[in-house]
Amino acid sequence: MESFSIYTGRTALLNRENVDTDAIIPKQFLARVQKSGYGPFLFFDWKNAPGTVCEIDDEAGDFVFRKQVLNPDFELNHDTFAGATILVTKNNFGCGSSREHAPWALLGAGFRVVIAPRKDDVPAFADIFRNNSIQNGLMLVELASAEVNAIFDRVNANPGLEITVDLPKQTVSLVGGPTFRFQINSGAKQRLLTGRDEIGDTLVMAEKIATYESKVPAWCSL
Amino acid sequence: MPKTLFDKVWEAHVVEAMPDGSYLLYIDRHLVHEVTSPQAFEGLRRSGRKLRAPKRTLAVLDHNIPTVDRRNITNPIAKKQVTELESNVREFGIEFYGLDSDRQGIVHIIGPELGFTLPGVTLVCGDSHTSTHGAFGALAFGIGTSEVEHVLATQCLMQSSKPLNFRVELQGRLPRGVTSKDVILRIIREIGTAGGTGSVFEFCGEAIAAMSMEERMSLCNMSIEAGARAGMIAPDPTTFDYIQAQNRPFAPKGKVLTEALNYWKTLQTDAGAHFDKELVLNVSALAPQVTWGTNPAMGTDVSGSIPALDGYKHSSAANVERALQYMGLKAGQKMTEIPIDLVFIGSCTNGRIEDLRAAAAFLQGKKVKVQTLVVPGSMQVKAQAEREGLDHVFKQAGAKWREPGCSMCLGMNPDIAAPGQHVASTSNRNFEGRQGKGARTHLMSPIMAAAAGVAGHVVDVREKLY
Ligand code: SF4
Repeated sequence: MESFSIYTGRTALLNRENVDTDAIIPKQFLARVQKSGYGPFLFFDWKNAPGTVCEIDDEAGDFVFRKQVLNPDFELNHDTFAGATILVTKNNFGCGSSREHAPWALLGAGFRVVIAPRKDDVPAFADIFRNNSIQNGLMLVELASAEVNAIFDRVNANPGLEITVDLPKQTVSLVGGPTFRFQINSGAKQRLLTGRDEIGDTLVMAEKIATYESKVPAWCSL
Repeated sequence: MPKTLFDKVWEAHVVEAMPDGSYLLYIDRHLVHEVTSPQAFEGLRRSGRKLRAPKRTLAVLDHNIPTVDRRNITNPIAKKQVTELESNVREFGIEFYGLDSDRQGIVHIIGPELGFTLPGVTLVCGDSHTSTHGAFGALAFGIGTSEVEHVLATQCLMQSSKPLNFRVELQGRLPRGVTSKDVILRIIREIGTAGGTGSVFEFCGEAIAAMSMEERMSLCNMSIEAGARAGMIAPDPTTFDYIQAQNRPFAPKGKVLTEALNYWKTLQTDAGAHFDKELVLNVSALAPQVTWGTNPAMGTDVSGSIPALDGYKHSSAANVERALQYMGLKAGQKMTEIPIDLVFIGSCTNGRIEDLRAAAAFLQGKKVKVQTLVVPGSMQVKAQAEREGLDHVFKQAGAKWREPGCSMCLGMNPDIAAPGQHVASTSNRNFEGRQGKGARTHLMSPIMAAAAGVAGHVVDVREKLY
């Protein structure tokens, strides 16, 4: 997987709560067996207006846009967010289905970072989505609600504003300030920084796994 | 130190506590379906890795399978996904329940039926509703495709932290016409779709003790809709009876079963164990629940009304307005005024035999006004229902009796609702587009869905029972 350390990019705002993975990448695209190529279908139902024709091309064996009509009301279609690679959104992003196609689609569309707020003691991102994102080097930053609101205000006033996410220092900095600190679990941080093959790491512990397996009770064996 | 049920199962599976605070967890059971596995098998092929313990994995076709002419998959991409699983299970030597198998069905329905799901095991699947299996006192949770590959290669998962303990006590007994589906919808409505994030629920209390395994599975199934990592119920005689029933090939038997039972009986939360969060709900006056919005927390009593824009506690008025616009509904509208164009009875939430019995009992001698799809959750459920003559009841009521699969729970197969249609659905997600682009899903119990089909709008089934 790709590693993540310090990254600067343009910001896009998606002012919605509880964005589910069905919205991030609708079901029909889950029939694909590839790991890549989901970017064009990110937020498909929100992004595209009636008149859009996206269908399976028998020769290509894949979905192709015959015609694409962008929905002018969808935030991410606005010119000010063109080329954005950091998505700032609201709480409980990535809830619902376990589909890893969600981070694949976000990364495929160029996003490297998603920033969202905690709400009281409730984490900003859904559990499975968070795990899937780490597996793919998509950086998720959880901030306090007031901090995310401050980012919304700044970006609204300065469209295209750049943000720098510094994982080693655990900071998010807006051009011209302010800088916010964020928390991240140390295991997740190490994995993102090194981008190493997690399966390889586990395989190194094969002996420990074998020892564990030797003690599995008969009723649990298969 | 006193421990919770979750603590006990978790601790019994830690292979190694890592210096960075992560845990390497052993995975006893792994379920695989066609949608979230092809990239994992491809990853294994590319890295030249093998399965560590192929016997611990079962694979099944469910999501893409048409419920009418099941072999005739016309979507070439879906068809490729199906054939890919068929060849992957051959290549990697995995037990497989394909279209020819009389044990085929939705992954979360067949695991328990086969006796594969047991108390005290860790069970994962590349599917969020894996929480279903927690009904047996298993620690069961959904994972992504990279993690599917990890489990296939190592039979372990790296967990960056241990989830919190969240106790949900259900006091009282459920009234007539009210089901465990209503209970879980009520819980989600209370704490929101993120209320359980980072936690594992333990459901307990009088109402749980009285529930069948089917009811418990429907409840645990939707733990994920409250954001929880998993939902668990301590095993009891109801659990043990289910496991010892006929026709569960993977369940332990004889002496091994005795050993297992001795251990399973210890899987209870100790007195005084610590819970990080708690919710107590008395269900004795609970009303049937119906959703009006675009996530499972956007619901209310069937006897109630859609809240005012600023009357919904889990998101802003702007989000409620967007949801109502999508749903074609208005704030303040009575729930029973919601028209229904289509009924779907099925899914891993409510596609089990008891669900079909409840719906059939209601439909006996009545006619549905709108198109109604009844989709058994598995071949075993279908066979049982047909032995009991439920298929005739459904057909006489004007409903369609279909072949097992995920069907209209998510439109990855031909069962799709049309834009703007209101669907009374026994599934688990009312997200935008889930049942078809523009489709408007109202989550409810099987008996409520059946009643809505007869009336052509949302109705309070309690008024129709005598
Ligand atoms: S029935 Fe629905 S929720 Fe359950 S496994 Fe199938 S698609 Fe997923």
